[in-house]
Amino acid sequence: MKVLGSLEGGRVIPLKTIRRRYILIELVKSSMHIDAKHIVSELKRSLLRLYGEYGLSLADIHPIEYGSSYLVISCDHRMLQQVRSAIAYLDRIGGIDVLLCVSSVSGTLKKLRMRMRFT
Amino acid sequence: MKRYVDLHVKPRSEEDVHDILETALKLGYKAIGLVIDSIYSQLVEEYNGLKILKRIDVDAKLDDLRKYRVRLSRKYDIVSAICRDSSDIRRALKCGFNIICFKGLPSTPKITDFSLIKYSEAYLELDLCDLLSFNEDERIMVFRSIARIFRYASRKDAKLILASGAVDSYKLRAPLDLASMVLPAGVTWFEALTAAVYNPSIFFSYMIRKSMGYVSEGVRIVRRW
Repeated sequence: MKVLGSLEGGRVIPLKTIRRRYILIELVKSSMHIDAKHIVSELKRSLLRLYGEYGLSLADIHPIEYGSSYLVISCDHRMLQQVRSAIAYLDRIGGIDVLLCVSSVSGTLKKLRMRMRFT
Repeated sequence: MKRYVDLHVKPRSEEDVHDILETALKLGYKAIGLVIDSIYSQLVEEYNGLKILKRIDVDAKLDDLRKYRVRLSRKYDIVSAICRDSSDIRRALKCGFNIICFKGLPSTPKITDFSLIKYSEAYLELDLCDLLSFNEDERIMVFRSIARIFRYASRKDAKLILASGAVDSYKLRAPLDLASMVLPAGVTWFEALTAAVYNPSIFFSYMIRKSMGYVSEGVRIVRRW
């Protein structure tokens, strides 16, 4: 997101303050088939439990892409480790045992998709 | 290149062993410390490139603890002491254990124990598997205790190890995810990474050197009789 930066010589320089991180979450194992949409809602609940409403609002999680065994979400770069820990604490979603792991983290979707192609 | 080590995994059955090994390979581990009894003694040393370290946990409250350690260290790669309080830690350190597995959460060892751990060059290990099963109130207490343990360890320069302590493959975590599990306790990312990734790797490389006859700096076993 671009916001107005400092004034330099009468010219406003745009400054990128909010940077996003794109996280590739891999569904390593699950006892039954699970919808990726449930994972996002459960992830938000886990983040809320661990870091509260303030943490959840700072993380600003958005689902980007779904697949049968993967999910791409975006979050604020300052909350990356916290989101990672919320993912690590997910072991059951709707009574189904799951094992999720963060496969890759990138600053751009292009690079993440490139990595997805190689893995 | 795979460089991660999980030193404590304790499967409940033989089926779990296979599942855990498969999942550990997927998560990028190069070695895994498996708690095994005589039932799985036929277990191979390596599984599709994943090194298996045979491990046994000994209760620190047992009599003749030193004798147990010496006897078991001939058969197992890792012999750890399960400690629940300060007195257990002191006993285990006196008997020469390298890995002190602390199971007394949410209580915390005394700060003086961390000095002893540092001088005996041992590692204090925390299992994070239990964190997944705790309810919110218990988890808050455990986080407080983990924060205190990390604070004491950094003050006294003692080495910590984070292990999954997984009983089945669903409880296993990827190395960096394992490190991130202690972040809600207020631990820094660097401290968590050191405990979950660097210290287990250092311990693993020490074990490899030891198997090749290394004793300590400048001392090496050249012949046995």
